[in-house]
Parts: sequence; structure tokens; C-alpha cells
Amino acid sequence: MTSTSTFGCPHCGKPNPLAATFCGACGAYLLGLDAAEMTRKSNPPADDEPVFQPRNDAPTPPSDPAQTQPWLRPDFDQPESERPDSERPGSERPNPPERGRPSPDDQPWLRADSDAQPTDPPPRPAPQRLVGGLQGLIEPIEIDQSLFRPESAGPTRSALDDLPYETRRELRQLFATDVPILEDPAQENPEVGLSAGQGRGLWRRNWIYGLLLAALLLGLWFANATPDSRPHSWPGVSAAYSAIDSLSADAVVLVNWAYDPSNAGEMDLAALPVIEHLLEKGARLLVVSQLPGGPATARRLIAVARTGASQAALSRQLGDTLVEGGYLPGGVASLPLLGQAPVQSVPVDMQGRAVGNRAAIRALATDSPALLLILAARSEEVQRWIEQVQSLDDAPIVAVTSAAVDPAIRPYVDSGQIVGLVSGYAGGIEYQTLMADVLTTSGQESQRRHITGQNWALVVLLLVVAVGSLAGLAERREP
Amino acid sequence: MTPLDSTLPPIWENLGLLIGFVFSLFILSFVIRDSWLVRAAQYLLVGVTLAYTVVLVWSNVLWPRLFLPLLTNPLALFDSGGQPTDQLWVGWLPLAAGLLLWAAGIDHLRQRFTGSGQPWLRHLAAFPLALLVGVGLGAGVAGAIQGTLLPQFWRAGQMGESLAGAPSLLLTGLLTLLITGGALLHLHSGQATGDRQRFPAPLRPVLSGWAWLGQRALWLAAGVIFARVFASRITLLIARLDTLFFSQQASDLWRWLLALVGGG
Repeated sequence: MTSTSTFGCPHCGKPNPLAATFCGACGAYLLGLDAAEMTRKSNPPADDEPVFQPRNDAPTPPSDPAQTQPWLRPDFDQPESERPDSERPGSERPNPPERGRPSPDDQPWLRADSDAQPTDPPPRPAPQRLVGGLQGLIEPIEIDQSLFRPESAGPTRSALDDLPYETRRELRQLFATDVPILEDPAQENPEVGLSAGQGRGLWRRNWIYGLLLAALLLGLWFANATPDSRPHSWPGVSAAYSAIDSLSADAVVLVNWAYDPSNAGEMDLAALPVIEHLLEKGARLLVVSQLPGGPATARRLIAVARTGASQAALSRQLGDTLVEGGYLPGGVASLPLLGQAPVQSVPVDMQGRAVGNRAAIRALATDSPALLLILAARSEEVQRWIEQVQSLDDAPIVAVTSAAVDPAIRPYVDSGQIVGLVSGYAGGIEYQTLMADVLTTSGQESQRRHITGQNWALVVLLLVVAVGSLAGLAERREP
Repeated sequence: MTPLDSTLPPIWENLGLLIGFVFSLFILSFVIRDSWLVRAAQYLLVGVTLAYTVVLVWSNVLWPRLFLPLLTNPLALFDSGGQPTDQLWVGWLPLAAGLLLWAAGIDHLRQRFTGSGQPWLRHLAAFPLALLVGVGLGAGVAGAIQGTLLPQFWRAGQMGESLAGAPSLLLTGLLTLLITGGALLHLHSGQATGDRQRFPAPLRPVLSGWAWLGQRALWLAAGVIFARVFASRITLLIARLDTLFFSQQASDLWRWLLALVGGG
């Protein structure tokens, strides 16, 4: 007897709970489909029942997800020699049903011929995930392949088909372990057949989220970290401090502002003391960003840093210390020019005014910058500047990064390409300590809340890991 | 008052804070369940971001760097010596490449509406696309070689020179060699591919042990990366909660909310 509480997403084919509004795998909107109809069709249909047809206003189903996503094919992990000839790449025979996967018999919209009607246009292929949308929040942009391959026709052979059997099996495992959101299909639908090791228990992660949030709020509310409590000290912070402290007055620092408001909550903590230090030293900053939200984020934080800088730093004219180069489009292709001739790369500032007569730009016309400062939330931004800019102007680099970026760029610190690294809130707090800044009362309280919150979050994480490990061990010992 | 200070009136600042507070709650409601509140906040965020990007590209790139110089002095293509000017290279050439890309887009739209026609316009986009891809790939490959591969190989080679150095350096070098070799061995001939049989029988136990070590090193590295990502994301969450519930308590927003809750 087949349970009726899940159905396959018409967009990607993944099983979803019946009450789901959006697909847990691809985010497709599911309410536009007739859930009751789909549920009924999830059972073996009676001969006299009409075949389900998607509504016209529903999302357009792909002709066959297995064509565009080979790892969805049930025989994807089988050696080539074991596949029937008719199921080799290029064959049009529908795939047989597989345990744990929606079958075309149960879900007719997955069949290649389900939309075949005399008057309807041929089904359009599923969107290619070449552009995954902004931060993965929206549906992928549908790339019109005909723009680049106008004459292409007929079945195409995927490059994955040429991979060896073991690699295909690994890829399938990699792409097939998406855990469902909110519900546990193995519990709701035993017929689906997910084993205990394939996500059982993970459906309870909402409890983990709730526990984590409650712990954080309690920690923030009763911030009880001792005044001398300090997070772990990572190497590279004192070297960053020394590199900036040794700058002469009026030294030109080229700043890559590679984070935007989505990461500002963490990055501001690390970047603020560094920017304050640069302003204290009287360095001239040329700030550019390759993110649309970068220039505005830079402007806000520099304004905050100026309020925390000394009176001597504040007495300097802002025009002497700061050139806002603004948004620098072009990705990696625009960086070599910035390394070779920054004057040509940044002709105007954010307001569209020519900056050729500014002191920082005049200095860069003859000399390399004294320092490259990279404020990045992604490791790629740091690597790009090391590869494209530093290799041309040989300036030392100080990187201020998210904690998540730290492991990826640590080799550059060891090789000496990055002279100093300040990562995460821990690096920011340590840098502030080196500056011997006297924090305001509100600043001390905020810092204490961050330390306490981190400690509580770690306790919850350790608890979850311990309980999860014990549960896994207990399940493994079950006969 | 500096050019960096906000010129928005205080009421707008508070309104922004209020909107941020409400939409943060929308996003956080995902903890309870996925709903249209979460999606609405996400789509609004995406839409506003895209709109902001369009405005920024026009005001910060296209107008001041391309159209304004061209409109100011459109015919300065060659200098008095007959040499091409910068105006030609950084003004007219990018404009022409951009128009060719637009032509392909217009042709695409035309075909969608008319249903047929010769796709000759879209072939015009081949030139700027080839330029973009070629320059990007060339810069990327050259940069990766001179900025990452060579320096990292050089650094790895320097480890071999640490025999005369401090014992800690030697230990670091040996561990690096051991772990790197073990990880490569595991990835190449470990359980993933199972072709360990290609090695001579006497070497197999040693190689198996080395690959076992490499596998544990990979697990350890994955654990370190996870721990740092966790710390990063928790910091973001704490910063948001701190902003919403603690740092802004003195703001008008909280006074309004407290007055609303207190009824006066």
C-alpha cells in the first residue's frame, strides 16, 4: 500500500511533503499544483481514471529531468556495460522506476511524453543552472542555449556519461543526499525507502535551530562573560597590526572592499579597528569594490571609524585621506589594470568627479601603493587580488576576512604573500586589544555579548554533535 | 558634518530600522516553517538588490566613465600626430562592443515575438563575447600561475631546505609532506577508486596506512572548515540579534514599540 503524503516536484523530481508550499530541493512554488490530484496519482492509477495533466498556470515541468541531470537516472551508478542498450545516452526510452525516486508511472509529468498534445508546443528544457540566481534565492535564470548553439538539434551526450563507474556513483551520492525540509519522507512514506542513514533525524533540525536561537538570546540577555574573557587568538593579527603601524603618514593604501551588507554583521567587527588604525596613522585610502553593495558599506563603516579615531585624525581633511573609487565592474579582467595603472583604472570617484588631482592618485602615478588592504567575505576575492594585483605591483597585503575564509587563505600567510590576517570577530577583538583602545561602556557590553553568544552557541553545537553521535552509534548497533 | 555622514532625516533612519526589524523577523520565521513571509522577504531583498545594482552601474560606471566623456568630446579619436587617443580605446570601443551585445539581445527578442528570421544579428555578439571570455581566461590562468601555483610550489620547496633550520620547521615540513602525500594517495587510490591493486604487494600495507592517515587528515580539515564557517555564521546571527534587541534600544524605534506595547 502506497502512502500518499509525498509527491515529486515537477521542477526537479525530488519528493516533497504534501503540505509543502515550496520544493525543499529547488525552491519551486508547489501550491499552483493540484495537490489532491497529484496525491491521487501517486497511487497506482486505476484504468478508468483520467491521466493527470498539469494545470496551465502551474510551473512548466521539464520534459525529463534525467536528460539534464544525469545523476537522477536510476542507472547512473551502474557500469556502462550493465545498462540496457535502450537506456544508454541518446535513447528515448523512459527510465524504469527506482526505489526511493519518483517514477514516471506514479508521476506522469516526469514522462517525456506526458505533455505530448497535438496543439501544444514541445516542452521546453529545464533551466540550466549556469546562473544560479542571486545568492540562490531566486529561480535560476533560464539561459537560452540557442543564442550560442543556434543549429544544435537532437540528443546530446553528457560529459558525465564518459566518467568511470565509481566516479558516477560518487557524484550520484553527492547530489542525491539533499535532506528534505520540515518533514521526514522516510517516516511519512515508508514506501519511499530512505534508510536510517539517509537523513533520519535531520528532519528534527528545526529543534536544533530553536535551541540554538534560544541559547543565543539567553546568552545575549544575560551576557556573563568575564571582562578579561577573550576568544581564541589566531596567528597573523599582530603581524597585520605591525604592518599598518609601520606605515608612514600619507602612505597610500589601496583598499578592496569585498563585502556588502549581507556579511557586514561579522566583517564590520574585524574591519572597524583596522580602518580606525589606518585613519590614526594618517594613511591615504583609495577604496574600490567589485560588489555593488561594497561602496555604500565602505562609506558607512569609514564614517563610524572616523567617529572613533583620535582628534588628530579627525582634524585632517577628509579629501586628503579618502578617495572613494566606487564600484569597479569587470571581475577578474579589470584587476590587472588596477595593479599596473590604478590611475587609469579609477578615473572618477563615486560622485563622478575626476580624481586625477587627488594626492593619493598622484602618488600612485609614480609608485606602488604602500599596502593592499583586502576586506573580504569570500576567499576568491583575496585570491584574485593576490594573483592579479599583488603580482603586478608587489605591494604587501593585509587581509581582513570572515572566519569562514580563514582556512582557505592561511597558506598565503604561510608563504608570505599575505603579511597579516585578521579573521572573524576573534581577530577584530584581538586587533582592538593591540590598539589599546579604551572601549566605551556600550562597546564593552556589545563585545561581551558577542563573546557570550559565541560560547553558548559552541556549547549547543557540542551538545548536538554529542547527542547525534550517540544516536548514530545506537542506530548502528541495532540488528 | 562630513560627506560620509548620512543626509537622511532621522525619520527615514528610524523607518529603515523598522523595516529591517520586520523583515528580519520574516526571515527568522523560517525556523517555524517555510511560508510566504519568508519568500516575500527574500524576493524583496533580491529585487531591491538588483534595482540598486542597475542604478549603481549607471551612475557610477556607464554615465561618468563612458557616456559623459563621449558626449563632452565625441570626435577626439586621433591626436595631432594621427595616433589613436584614449577616447577611442576606452570610449568608443567599449561602446561598440556593448552595442553588439545589445544587438544579439534584440535579435533574440525579435525572434521570440516574430517566431522566425535569420539570426544574423546574434552572430555580432561573438566578437565582444570572445573578447570577454578570452581576456577573463587569460588573466585568470596567468594570475593563478604567477600568484598561486608558483609561490605555493616555491614555499613547499623551501620546506626541504629546513633541515638546517629549527626543529619545529623541520617537523612542520615533514608533517606537510606526510599529510599532503597521504591525502593525495587516498584521493587517488583509496576506497574511492579501489585500484590499489596496481601497486606491488609489499608496498600495499604501507600505502594503505599512508592513505588511511590522509583520509583522517581530510576529515580533520573538513572539521576545521566547518568550525570556522559555524563561527562566522553565528557571528552574523549574534550581530543581527544584538542590533535588533540591544544596540538600538535607545533609538526611536524601541521607544515607539515600547509606547505601543505600553499603550501610551
